Amino acid sequence: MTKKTMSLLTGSVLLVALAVSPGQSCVGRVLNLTIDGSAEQKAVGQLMATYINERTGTMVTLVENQQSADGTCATDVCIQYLKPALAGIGGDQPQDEKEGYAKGKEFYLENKSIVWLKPFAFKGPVANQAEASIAVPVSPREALGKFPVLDRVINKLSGMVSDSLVQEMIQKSQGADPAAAAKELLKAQKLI
Amino acid sequence: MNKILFSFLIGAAAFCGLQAASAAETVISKGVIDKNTTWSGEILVKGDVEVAAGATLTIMPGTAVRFAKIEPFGPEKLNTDKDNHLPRIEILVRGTLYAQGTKEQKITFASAEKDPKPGDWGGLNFNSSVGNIVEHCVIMHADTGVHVHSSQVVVASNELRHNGTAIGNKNLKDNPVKCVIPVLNNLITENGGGVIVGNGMSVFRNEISKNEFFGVYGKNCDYAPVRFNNISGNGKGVILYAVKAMLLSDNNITDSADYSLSMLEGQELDMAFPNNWWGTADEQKIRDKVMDKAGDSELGAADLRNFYTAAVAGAGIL
Repeated sequence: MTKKTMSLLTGSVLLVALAVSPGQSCVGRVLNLTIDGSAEQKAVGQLMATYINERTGTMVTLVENQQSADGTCATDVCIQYLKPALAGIGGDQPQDEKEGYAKGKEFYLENKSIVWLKPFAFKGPVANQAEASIAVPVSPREALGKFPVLDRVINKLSGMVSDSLVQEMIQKSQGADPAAAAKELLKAQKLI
Repeated sequence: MNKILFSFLIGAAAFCGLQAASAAETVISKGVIDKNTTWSGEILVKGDVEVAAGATLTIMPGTAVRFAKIEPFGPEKLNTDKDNHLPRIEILVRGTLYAQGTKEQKITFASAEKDPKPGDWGGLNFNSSVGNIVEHCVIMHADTGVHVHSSQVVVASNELRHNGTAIGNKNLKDNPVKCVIPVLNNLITENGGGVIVGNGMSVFRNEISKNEFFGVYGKNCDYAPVRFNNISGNGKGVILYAVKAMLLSDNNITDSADYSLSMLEGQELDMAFPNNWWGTADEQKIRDKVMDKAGDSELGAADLRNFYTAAVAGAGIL
């Protein structure tokens, strides 16, 4: 068993978006979304889970796990950051974020069959501002085959997820139901 | 009668009652039913049960079937293929199931947990099976109460509540059996989701209310009639994904928390649903509770004009 698989298995399942089934049959598959333990990824993960559920009917399970930061993804969707993902490629690092994103997108698709979706408008990790870079939702090509509109849905959400929205989500989630907080914020943005 | 004797008799009666209840319960372990079988009385199911092709399981009126909560896809499962099986205990029907209660003596399918929750057990899972009847049953705490793949099942006069999803179906690719599923006169309430409507399902005269996410979910269907239902107080009344055609008419679709009708991502075709009552005769108020092309240009447009200006009389359970 690889380290990555082992790490995934020992990761904890955070929560299950309640809307459809508690488990789920093939009438609708379950989508696993990996987040690290940071407050910002918990917030973004919940926003994504709620949005995907509301707009596709798919149930989403958030899996909290210290995933590899190398730009890949062992579940259906992960949140990666540009700088460490590019570091995994090696070679010259573009200073321009757009160039860096284009380089990473091409590399991971061709070499790892990982699709880099439209980047979020927030940067992280927040705990290390000096090294913060844009967050990118990534998904294995195989997962996008299982969930036909997933890329479209995430791409619609990505541009809306800014640093300020993430902070607002973190605040609203404190002492409250994160799913309800996410729903309220997404409604206010007229996304659901 | 002195107090000591009275106390003893009460205690003895209570003990006997407990023993009798316990002794009367038939425990069913994981296994395959490969010859015609009848269940009655109290049944406790502790592992997956498969009704093999060619065999019939008949469940008598008044039977109470309870399901133990097991580890998802654990050792008590017969099948662990996640595409066709539910995570916890299911009655997998490849043969035939007759679960016909009566109005006075319903059949109950429920969790054996003290504090039961949706998803404690899987559901009645039909796969490539014909001639099934689920009537006058109470189905609770399942992942998907009635889960149908390429099968033919009458689902009539039941009560489905506190399930993850009450009812759902789809046709499996290359399977010669096509779904035929009349869903009639059921009370479908307080589930996570109500009815997922795929090809071959028809939904008539049901009370579909107070389901957390949706009342009716049209999914990948080329044609499905949904008529004369009361669809009220659900998170979303009707949601649609990749639907090519649906006859949604003569329903009362009211009091939805979010939307009366919502086109999901992937519902690109325009749809017209005239002849429904949407809870108001004000067209703008009706439009305010619709998610479609007007809010997202990639979605299809929902044309709800020619709506009724009063509730459909006689819709819902007869």
